[in-house]
Amino acid sequence: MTQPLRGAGLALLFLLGLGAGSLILHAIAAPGGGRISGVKAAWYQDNASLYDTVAIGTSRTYRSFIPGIFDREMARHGIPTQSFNLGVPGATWLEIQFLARKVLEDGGPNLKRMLIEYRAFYPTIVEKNLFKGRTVYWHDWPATSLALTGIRDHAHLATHPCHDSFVHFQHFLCWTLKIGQAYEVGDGLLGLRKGKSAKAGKVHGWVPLEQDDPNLAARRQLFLDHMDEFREDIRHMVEDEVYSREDVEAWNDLEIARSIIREAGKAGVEVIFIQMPGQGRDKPLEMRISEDLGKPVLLYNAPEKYPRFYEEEFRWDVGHLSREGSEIFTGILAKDVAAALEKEKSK
Amino acid sequence: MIFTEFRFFPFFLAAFLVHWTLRKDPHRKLWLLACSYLFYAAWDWRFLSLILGSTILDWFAGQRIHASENPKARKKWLTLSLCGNLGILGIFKYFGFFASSAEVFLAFLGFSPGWTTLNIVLPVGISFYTFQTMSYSLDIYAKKLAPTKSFIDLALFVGFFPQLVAGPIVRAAEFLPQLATTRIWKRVDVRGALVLFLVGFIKKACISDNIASVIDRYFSAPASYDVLSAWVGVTFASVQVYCDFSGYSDMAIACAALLGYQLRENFHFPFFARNITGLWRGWHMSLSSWLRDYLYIPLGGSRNNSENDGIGFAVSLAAFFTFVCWVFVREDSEMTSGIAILLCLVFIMVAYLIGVRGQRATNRNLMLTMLLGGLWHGAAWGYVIWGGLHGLGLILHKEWKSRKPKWGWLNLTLNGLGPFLTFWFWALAYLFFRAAGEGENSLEVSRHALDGFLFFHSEGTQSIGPPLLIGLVPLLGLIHLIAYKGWTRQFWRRVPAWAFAAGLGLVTAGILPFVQPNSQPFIYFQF
Repeated sequence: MTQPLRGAGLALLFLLGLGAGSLILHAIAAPGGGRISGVKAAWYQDNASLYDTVAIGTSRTYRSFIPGIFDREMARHGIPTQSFNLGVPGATWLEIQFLARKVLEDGGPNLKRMLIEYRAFYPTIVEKNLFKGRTVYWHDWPATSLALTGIRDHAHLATHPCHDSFVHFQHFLCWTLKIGQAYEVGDGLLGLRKGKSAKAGKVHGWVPLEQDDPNLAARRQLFLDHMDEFREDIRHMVEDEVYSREDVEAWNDLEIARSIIREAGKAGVEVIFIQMPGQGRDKPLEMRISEDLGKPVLLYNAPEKYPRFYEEEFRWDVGHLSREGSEIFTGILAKDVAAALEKEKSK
Repeated sequence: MIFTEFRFFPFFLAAFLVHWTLRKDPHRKLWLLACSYLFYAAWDWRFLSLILGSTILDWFAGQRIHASENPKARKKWLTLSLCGNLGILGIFKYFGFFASSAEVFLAFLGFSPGWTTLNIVLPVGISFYTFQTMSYSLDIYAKKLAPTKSFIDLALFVGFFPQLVAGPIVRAAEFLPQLATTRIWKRVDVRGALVLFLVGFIKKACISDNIASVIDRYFSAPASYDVLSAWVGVTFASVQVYCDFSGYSDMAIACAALLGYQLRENFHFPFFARNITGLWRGWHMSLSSWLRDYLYIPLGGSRNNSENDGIGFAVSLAAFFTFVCWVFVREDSEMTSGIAILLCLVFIMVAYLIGVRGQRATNRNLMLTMLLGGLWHGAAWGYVIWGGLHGLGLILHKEWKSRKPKWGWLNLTLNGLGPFLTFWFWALAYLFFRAAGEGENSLEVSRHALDGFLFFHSEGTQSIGPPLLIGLVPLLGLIHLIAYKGWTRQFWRRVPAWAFAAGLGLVTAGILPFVQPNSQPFIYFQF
């Protein structure tokens, strides 16, 4: 055998060894994602049979979707549910898509519906999140390819498409080879998270801001100190066609939503999208998104329609509702979800 | 681009495959030179001109030195080479340091010079490649080497990417003959190189990068942490720099070996040395041997001692160290006056030892070499203090060796405790080195860290991490001992090639979870 062929053969054996080792690690490792998403996902994985409805989204979902109230109100509307809150602070659109796929994998025959918080797609991974466990864990190939496709299809809008694509690819490599995932491997071997996930299960995933980390109170004070700016944002949300406070790149990516719908359709699970009461509007998008997707899209980022969600009394900070606001929101959400499900049934 | 980054692997794969595919030496060398410049440009393309400039300067200087028989002319060309290289180093590395130190001193005397401090970016690797080019000129001047006829060879010697940015510092006499001969694939110790690369990778990416955050937390605010944290922070800092630097050297040597070139070993288990002299025989060997051959020996080395040598150097050094102690223990410091007296006594001993009759020249040369070795690292007093402490340690050990009582029990005890005492001393000196990296706060950081590590005193109550963290040190020591004894070498050298390849893949998969994907730069890149 010639030297180059021998070398190629040995290199292939090295790669096979690397691949085998990575497969073993994937089999051992617990779900990644850190102290909230990882813990919640681990609980859901072990207890999926308890739930037929899962709400997936960002901290807005995490803090505002109250499973107990939702289930009670849904029962009142004739659709009994058992829901779980899989909201995760700072979840990106791709992370939500990843969580939706995990829920569909783990859900089993009990899973009937998913409530998905609709998000814009941010192509750039924020520097402080680069290569963190929380960012790597959702970079499997479906999510990574959606990221790469999204950047490619919107290259005219992107500032650094090649760099952003390469960064997503690097995260995919980290996911594949479990680079930097020693904690998840250790967790899988030693069950480090078991106790913590049971805590998430006790409250079905929901923790109000008022009962969480006392440091969060500083955000409330910041919000109160800048009420005038917040009111100005609300005014723009009502008056402008399109309004956003953020100066980072983001665009509407329907393909990510469609991929969730496809996967849910295969499992026979209903999907309802929700636009949480945040700061930002895109009225032309809002008008057509439900038709574009062919699925219900419940829009709550409308101060003119839901003024209470934007009042100081019912808001914790710029992005989140207070506990009272969440109770009201969950009640309204249950009513709208019940109506949407009836409408879907009658189609 | 660093060896533990993603993009390095496709880069090296391309460099490796094309290098061994090309048949002709000139093509191979041109390819490697292009790769080397690309590697450097990935850092900062603007400073490629400096490497090229340094290479051109020494190309011409070397030719002129060799061609001339007139000693004055030879000296003139050598001076030009040294001034050019040291001038570059001086401007980029030391201008700001001396300007701001002079400004402080003049302000102390009541003057306000008011000159502008230039914000100069330090080119990566400048300390390494300027020393390499100087060694080329110096060896030609000493008639140990003939100048190379190939500019490409010289450029590749200076810019060879595996060792370009952080050593090992390569000697022209060792590397140019390799460039002049054809590299043969069959002679490449592929297994040895791959295992060495893996070991270096583990040291850097798994150990050094993972403990970096603990060390950075401690040294950013040592006053906040308790005494145990001081020990963790200071000890781990030494472990970090060893794993980081020796890891880099291992990977550099491995990459060069895979391309068919041998670089000298840079670290040889320094922390198993029983004394400070032994440690320096195993630490950053390429720099210490450079300083020995081009500084210590030309200064006189251990020769030319005279009973009548003056004590001026000893006195001025004692004054300098006493001044350093005063800076540390003046009124607003938290250290006690008892500690101040202790430190002063230590440095009076310095003066005595350095001034020992019949050894003054040797001790002076040793101390000067170590002080300049400290200054080589950069423009900060912390590096000078580090160098000075090591000079003191070397002198102390030398004097101890010649005077120690012949008590068997004492020698046995010291032999046994030697590695621990030597590591402790290393960690103590490195404390100043590491604190120098905190910039304006380096003095405060040094004080508080010294307080905690040396004097077991701290007002802080925070803990740097679980107490078990300190248990990592003996664990790492055990793994290091296994490597030192070579207990696994027989195994991986003997298994069939297919088993080695697959096993290497499995082991690599096993260590990747411990790798920090957000690569930290190599510590020695800042020098």
